[in-house]
Amino acid sequence: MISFTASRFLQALTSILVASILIFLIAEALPGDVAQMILGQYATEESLTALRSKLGLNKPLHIRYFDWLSGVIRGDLGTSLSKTGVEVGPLLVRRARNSLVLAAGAMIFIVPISFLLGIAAGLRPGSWLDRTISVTTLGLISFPSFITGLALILIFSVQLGWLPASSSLELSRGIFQQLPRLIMPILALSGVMLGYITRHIRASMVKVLRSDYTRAATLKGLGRRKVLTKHVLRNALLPAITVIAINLGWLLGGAVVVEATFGYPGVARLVLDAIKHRDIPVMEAGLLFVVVAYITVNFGTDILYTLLDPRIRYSRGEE
Amino acid sequence: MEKSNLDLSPGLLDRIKNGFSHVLKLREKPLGLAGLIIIVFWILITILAPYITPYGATQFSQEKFAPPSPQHPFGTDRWGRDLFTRIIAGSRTAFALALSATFLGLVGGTALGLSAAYFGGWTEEILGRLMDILMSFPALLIAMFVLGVLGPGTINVIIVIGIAHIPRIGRVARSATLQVKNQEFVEAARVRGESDLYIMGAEILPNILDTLGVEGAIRFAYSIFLSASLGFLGLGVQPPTPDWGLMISESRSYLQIAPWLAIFPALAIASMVLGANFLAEGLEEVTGGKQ
Amino acid sequence: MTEPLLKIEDLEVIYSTDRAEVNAINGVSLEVNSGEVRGLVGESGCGKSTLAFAIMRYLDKNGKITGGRILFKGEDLRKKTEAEMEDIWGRHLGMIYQDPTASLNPSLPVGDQIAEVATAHGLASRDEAIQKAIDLLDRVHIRDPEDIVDRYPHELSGGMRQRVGIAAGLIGEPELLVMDEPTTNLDVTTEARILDIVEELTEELNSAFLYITHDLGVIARIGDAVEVMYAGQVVERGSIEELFEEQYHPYTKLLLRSIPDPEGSKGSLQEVPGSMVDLTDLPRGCNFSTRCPYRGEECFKSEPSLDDKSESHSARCFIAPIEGKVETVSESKDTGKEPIGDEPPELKREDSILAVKDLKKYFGGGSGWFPWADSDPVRAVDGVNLDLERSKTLGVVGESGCGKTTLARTIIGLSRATEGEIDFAGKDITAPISRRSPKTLKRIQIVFQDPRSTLNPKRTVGQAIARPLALHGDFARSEIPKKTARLLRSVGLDPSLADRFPDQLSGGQKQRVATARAFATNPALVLHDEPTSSLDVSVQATILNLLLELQEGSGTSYLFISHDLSVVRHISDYIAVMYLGHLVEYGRTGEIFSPPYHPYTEALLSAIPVPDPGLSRKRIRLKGSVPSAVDPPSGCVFHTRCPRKIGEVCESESPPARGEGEHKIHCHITRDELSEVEPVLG
Repeated sequence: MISFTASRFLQALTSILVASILIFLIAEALPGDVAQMILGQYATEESLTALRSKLGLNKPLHIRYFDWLSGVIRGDLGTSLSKTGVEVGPLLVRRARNSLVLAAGAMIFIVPISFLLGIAAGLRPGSWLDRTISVTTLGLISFPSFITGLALILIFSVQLGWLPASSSLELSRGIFQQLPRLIMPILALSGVMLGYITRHIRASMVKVLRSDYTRAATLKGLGRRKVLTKHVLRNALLPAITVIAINLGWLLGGAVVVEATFGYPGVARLVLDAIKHRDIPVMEAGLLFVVVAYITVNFGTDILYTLLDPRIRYSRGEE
Repeated sequence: MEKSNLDLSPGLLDRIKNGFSHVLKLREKPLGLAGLIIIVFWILITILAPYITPYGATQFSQEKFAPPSPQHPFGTDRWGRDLFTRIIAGSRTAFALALSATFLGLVGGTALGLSAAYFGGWTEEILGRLMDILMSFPALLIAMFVLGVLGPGTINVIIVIGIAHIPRIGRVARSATLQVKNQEFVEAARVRGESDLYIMGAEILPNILDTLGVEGAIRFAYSIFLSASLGFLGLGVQPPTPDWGLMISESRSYLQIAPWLAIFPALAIASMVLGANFLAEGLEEVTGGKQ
Repeated sequence: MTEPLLKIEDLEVIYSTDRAEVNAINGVSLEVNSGEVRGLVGESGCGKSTLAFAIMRYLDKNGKITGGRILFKGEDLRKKTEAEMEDIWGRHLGMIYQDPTASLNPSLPVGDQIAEVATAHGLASRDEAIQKAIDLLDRVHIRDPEDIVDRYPHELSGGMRQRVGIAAGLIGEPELLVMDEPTTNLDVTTEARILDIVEELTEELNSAFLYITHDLGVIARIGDAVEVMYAGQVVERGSIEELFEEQYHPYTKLLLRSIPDPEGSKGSLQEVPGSMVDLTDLPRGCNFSTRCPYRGEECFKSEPSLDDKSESHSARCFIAPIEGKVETVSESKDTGKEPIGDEPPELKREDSILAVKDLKKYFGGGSGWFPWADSDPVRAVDGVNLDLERSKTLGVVGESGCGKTTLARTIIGLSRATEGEIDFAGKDITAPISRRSPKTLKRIQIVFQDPRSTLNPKRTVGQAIARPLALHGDFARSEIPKKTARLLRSVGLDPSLADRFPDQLSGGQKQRVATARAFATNPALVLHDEPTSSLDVSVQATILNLLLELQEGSGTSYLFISHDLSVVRHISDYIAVMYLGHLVEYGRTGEIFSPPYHPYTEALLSAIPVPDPGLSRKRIRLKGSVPSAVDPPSGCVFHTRCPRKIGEVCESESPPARGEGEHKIHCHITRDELSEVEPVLG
């Protein structure tokens, strides 16, 4: 188990390293001269050269990569190019906190509902309830979140006037006072994922209900309730952990459309703005955060899954 | 071994017939049938677009923000352009984009996934890890990022979405290949000395086509989904090309006075994605991937 | 006379599919009494499993009981509600399944899975139930049951899992236990031990057992009476002694003779002509009339009933009893088969076609990503020597994990040899496929095990056979269709089948096509990797006959891999017995089947289920299970389970090959001592 955790940890680390190289290279490939962008188009050649050497832009590529990486490891993410003088680190932390709030809110909403719907649909495949849930979830994954978001705005802000259309948070106030501003982004963000997880759980339920061991448990005369709680649910819901983990990672970075729709200050929109403004340090930091978050969550899930599933625990313990 | 030229032809006709029979079988699956009808409806609209659009897609007029009326069934936008015309014209953009991107993703993903699974060992290890890493970026973020490098525009959007599909399709192709590659007919082909290319192309590929077809339909839906989102973020197709996502993005400032500007493009996007997803579900049922 | 425990009257079950209604059970009546073991025997599609689940009132969703009664302790189970059945299941009516692995919940300790039956029915508290589970595990001869109850299913071997299944079936002390092919997925030595346990239990308990199997040999050993099923009907019923003594129904008669006799020798087997009747479209008269060699006019007109032919023996046949001996019916003979191959093979009998020298094949192992992930390899084949003469058949026999399939795959080049040498017709061909010459490739071919995956589902039969012709043939492409047709005829298939896709063929037909494909390149050596193990015995007989016939016509040499000693005996000139990657015995077929035996061979022989209830054999049972090939036992690999282990030398030194002529036994016991045992068979 320890050796499994260690190898899995090294794997995660390798993945992060490779991802960091990719991010760095793509950022490098972005068109445009950074020095020119900072100083504006009327800057003199001398001042440009001076700035380039100050920023280290004339060093070879790999040296700059290691400079950047060592900065990241020390916690120094540099300063923003578009918002002059703003440190990237604290900015990212604020935005990450907001993203985390949004992701956590969505998860609290999604997990219980998708479990309920998935189990209900999976218990009686082919029934009207199953069909309704299947069609609904297919619908949910077919609506891009900006459409859901705009629909919510149209109904709750424009028509009913219950909730504010914009969700720009005020940092001074606590999360719960700002809850009304969070409701619509959370709903918009949840739709697609709710659909995916529900469908996954349904499929998993159907598979386990058809298994030989469920049949064997039934024919022991345990009674339906006991068969379900003791034999079916555990085996059907365990794989859902992985799916949720993948989606959690996605929530942290993939919420860009929702953040843009509601003007929500999360990491994804930070990256979007940085791309638009060629703000390379912010962009690199934001992307790296998303990747690290995703890989960390998946690493954690793998370990958790291994602890929960005796089959894997056993086979990995042997290694 | 010059005789092992790729002869895909003998089974080709049967395969087309087979594919066609899957479509016929959709009749018994209400969901798949609904999806098929929606998609066929949109295909007809796309083909007939020049004949059914009353105005030009970029034709300005003085009637700004006109609500839906017999002259303008879906109303007009802030430049007085007819929304009905623009939505129909937008279907061409959406189709062209989604089809090309899906095709790109299918070719790239299948090539990578199939060869990774077939060769196994280090090839699989490296390709698999690379795909895992690519998957750890949300598709939309990669798209944003790459569009940042390449700049917005239709071709770039196609490339970006196609690339975003590759790791996912690659994974599906890989697991489908893994199920086939150790079957005895593949080993029989190896034993008689077939080339790797022949085995992948003529023995394995025909057996994963059903799976790829279903995945293709899902990716088609997702292409529309993604391109609309990119258009909405202003990173996709650029004005004045009629694009549904872009239309919704532009409508946001006028939600109070002209909600139809958001509603109709949203319905168009949702119906096309829904149609493709329904179709994928139906295809999955008839090809036996799901009960 | 007391009322039977289970009485089924005129039961009918129909499955509805998209296309048609399948008549799975067509009027079955039978009785099971307390204290007896009633066998239910038949080939795939006969409805035996459907009958079992109909009794349990647990059919698949599309299955429906359309008629008849199932009287259990005098009450009709068809009238019971689900809740009432829950009280009966496990407590009064238990079941043991074919696949012990799939039937156990992977994420629950096995002790819980046994104990829960008792607690659910209020027979015991949880602690008492666990104690009962431990006692039962002990009773089915599991060592350290206190430890085993806390284990998960994947930590146990297949045989142990099935014992857990039996314990779970017994703990509720049901009056009737339905056993659905409980040993089919197990190795023969494991099967023998499970059958011993079942035998013990049936003697000790007063419960009734309904034992379902496809294997007449198994039922001959443990049954009291047997019902033979065909096409959803009982066609013959009798006490074990009577039924194996004389068969009234032609199907039973033919079926029993299609089984290769472990005491017999190379020669044609009886075949059951034709194939299983279409259950969606049953004939008007007797269901067996489509295949029956003795059918008369009346067989097509009306359906025979199950009539008593003697006091405890009845059959569903107008003709029975059939007078005189059964004439050997070989279906393929009438189709005008053509000899396979184009040129007369160059026959020099004494030449060696295949020589394997000290072959080793290790999988995996070596260094991992990290130092602590280093692992030892799996020693699948660990130093095997073989020699095969031209036009002869060498059978390689052993249980799962013995390395026989790996051996075949390494010889054909699908796996790369770790060490050793493979010579083919005097030439070294040790390299994997990619480095073998086209000429070598076409001269060695293989027929695989699984008819479902042996043919590409997207290609027609014709395409499957034409491809090797096009790849290796030195003739004009225009000749291919003619040659394809000829190959099809030579494996006893109609050339019109060339346009069919594999899913339109039966399992036996697919194996014939695979055989034709292998023979298309005119090979000098064909490897057969368990080619009949997925087939029904009656189909197996036709394939074995075909292989013998093809060999006679072409002089092709065979390497025949199988777990089934009877089959291997039937087809082979020489036999090699493998255990854990090693050859333990090698010799002419006759030499393997009579003393001196290697102790492992002796155990294997004593485990074969023989369809002869009168036969009493020595019982040699192996302890424990096959050790891991990653860390095989030192010295003689068999010493951990050997019933005749002589001492320390077995653990420390690898055994010498004790030979006499070609016959070699790898054992520390001297040949003279090994010769002193009684023969296991005959």
